[in-house]
Amino acid sequence: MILVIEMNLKDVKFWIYKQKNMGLSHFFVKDIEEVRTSKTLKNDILNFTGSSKIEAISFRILFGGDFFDKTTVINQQFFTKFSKLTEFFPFYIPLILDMLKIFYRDFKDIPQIAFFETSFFSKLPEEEKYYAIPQEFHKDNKIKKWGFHGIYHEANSGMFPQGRKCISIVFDKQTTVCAIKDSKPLMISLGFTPLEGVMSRTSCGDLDPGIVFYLVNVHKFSIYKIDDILKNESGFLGLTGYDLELNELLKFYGKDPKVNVAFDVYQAQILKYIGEGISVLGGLDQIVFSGSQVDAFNPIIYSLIKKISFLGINTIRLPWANDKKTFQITSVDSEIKVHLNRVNLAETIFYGTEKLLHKKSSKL
Amino acid sequence: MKYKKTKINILTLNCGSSSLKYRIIRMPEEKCLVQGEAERVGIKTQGDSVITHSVLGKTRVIKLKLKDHAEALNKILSLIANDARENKEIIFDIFAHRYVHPGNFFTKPVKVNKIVLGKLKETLSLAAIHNPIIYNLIEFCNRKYKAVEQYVVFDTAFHKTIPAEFSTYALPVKLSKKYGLKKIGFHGISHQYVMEEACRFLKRDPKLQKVISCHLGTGGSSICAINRGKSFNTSMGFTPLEGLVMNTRCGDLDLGVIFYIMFKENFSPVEAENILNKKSGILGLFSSSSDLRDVVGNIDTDQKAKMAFDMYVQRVKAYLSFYVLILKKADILIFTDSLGTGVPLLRQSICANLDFLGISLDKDKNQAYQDGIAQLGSAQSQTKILVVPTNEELMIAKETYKELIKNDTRN
Repeated sequence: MILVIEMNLKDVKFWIYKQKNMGLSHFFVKDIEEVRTSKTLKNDILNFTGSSKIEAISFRILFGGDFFDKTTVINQQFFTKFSKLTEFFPFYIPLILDMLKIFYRDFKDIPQIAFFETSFFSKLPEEEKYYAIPQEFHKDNKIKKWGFHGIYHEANSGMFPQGRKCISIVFDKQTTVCAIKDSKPLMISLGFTPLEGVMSRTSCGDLDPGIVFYLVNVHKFSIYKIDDILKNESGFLGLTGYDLELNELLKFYGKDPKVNVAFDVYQAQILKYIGEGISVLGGLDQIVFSGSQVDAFNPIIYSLIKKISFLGINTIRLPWANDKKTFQITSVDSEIKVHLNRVNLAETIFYGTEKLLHKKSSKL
Repeated sequence: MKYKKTKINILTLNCGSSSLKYRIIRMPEEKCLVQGEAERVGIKTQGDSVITHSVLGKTRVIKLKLKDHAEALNKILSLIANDARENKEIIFDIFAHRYVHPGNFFTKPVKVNKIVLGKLKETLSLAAIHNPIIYNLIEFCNRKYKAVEQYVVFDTAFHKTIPAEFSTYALPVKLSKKYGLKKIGFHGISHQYVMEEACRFLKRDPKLQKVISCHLGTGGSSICAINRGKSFNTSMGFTPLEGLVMNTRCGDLDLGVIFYIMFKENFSPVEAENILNKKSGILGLFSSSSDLRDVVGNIDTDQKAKMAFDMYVQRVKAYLSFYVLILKKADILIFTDSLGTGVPLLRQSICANLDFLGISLDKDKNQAYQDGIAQLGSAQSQTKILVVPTNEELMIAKETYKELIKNDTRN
């Protein structure tokens, strides 16, 4: 039995998986304060797992900085390194550190593993990792591309043999595009912060930096106000005025002109990164779509693929079957193959954990 | 019917931040009578300013001090007046200026009058370096040469056809409307000129072509997708800071970086803007020069030079590939301006590994290129690859002449 845990500032999500592809056995959410102060955490969890042995507990962690360039087993050393990341995320890191220590204390004998959303990108090429700003800002590695959705992108690229030129696209709260070859990322859309790359429900995505200065220096906006507008009032919300989740908003695509513009701009932003991906790969063999919104976004995927079908992509018409976890949405004669990977994040971490445990036991 | 059947000499004025290029071009035959450039105008350098002045092929170089563009123009006009005493042929009839950023006020060339001047005045802050310089020149000409008509040609006008999906920023609609925030694009005069020249050279109709134009200069750089003669997308945005890596400009950047250097490193907005506009790009990465040609000279020995070059090239490749996707393959790829025409390694590196998109350069032809328009694509390249020297002054004259004829017929 493997426990997968994700924590944010508000709550803790638990997924319990039985081994050997038995699928998800339990899922529950707890308030983070409740978990933090609980004196019966261990018993609460054991209530769900019953008499089965917990083989490992795996955590999804959003940021690993320079210290964690791969999935890492949690021990005392881990905590020392992890605490040094506080300067990057002064709220998130101490809270997660606290929580991890609680689990470490209560489940001493069970291997605990940290999966980072940024580790995969430690291998980005230099010219992709940095920005064209004065060198001194790159010193101490403070400003560089950290990337995001590394867990998904790594798993997506793992679907194919080495040597394949692959573009992986994740539809989640954020949308990210990554180019991968030989298990190495060559380009990622999301950079130093989540503002860069593709727009989201409320953030603007790529934008002329000159606009920030125009509004601040000429129209006397405060920089805090702009920061807030770009993160919380822009994106789909800004363009449509509708405060809806994207899967809800998508129902108005083709019916409401404001929604049409928003999804057209969104697709143009994704296309820019597909183009960039092709340029770093020097071609294209495989495209994979995944993420929590992948099913809801079938029409967007279809529309995107249609736009670039001239490259040699022959797509199957909608609707696509949804009875398999992964499947190909291109016909056999398509030069470039397109796949959907419907394995969700917790399950991806579960598989990753299983693989790691097997590796370990074979070593022993 | 003032101009329609007669020849007309247009004095074009093309201001850079520290330069002023000028030509007297006789239309409609497009004959260049006078050409020249004032360099190092209004900037602190160790050397003097220089005016290189050619009349019908005869060149003079004049060293002097020029504190601003108006003083430079004054000097240029007195040079021309002297020459005109000996040769009446070069007397000019009309001024034509290139104006960088008219906001959303103008999308085609206009004749200057009081109303136009008033509107231009409102746009000064949009391109804080270029607009005020040009505006001052227009006012100067207005004062000193009241009888001479002035026309203004806009560097943004060509891009008015960019569709909403590419020109819209994902900002609150109200904010964008209020401040006119959208992709405006620049270098339009140059992109349009080289596109038309390339089509003329290949004997193709621009209305049937899909073209990508790379204007790579020692100052600004931009790339433009042109669909059937119309601008379809371009890398610069509402301001010339977006897009490619430039000599001292960062181009595309995670906006989070701006907030980081202000919140955490305590730079003021003006300082931060200054860093990203004047201390970034090639200069920021390479530190000893902002000129990519100096970078190329050090590429094998200096890690910083290699990084600057790779980043510059990769950004061009990214946009180029994106534009191939939205055009669904390009018929013609053009390189222009000083870096685009003058650095073979740059063209070679940009085109490397793009066979998949139908772009394949002939390495020997590329190395052998000297001047003029030339075709550098390999035999199997589906896209024609051309070097086309830009001539913004001629385009300014052509656009002005078109407008003159229109005004004439209206009268």
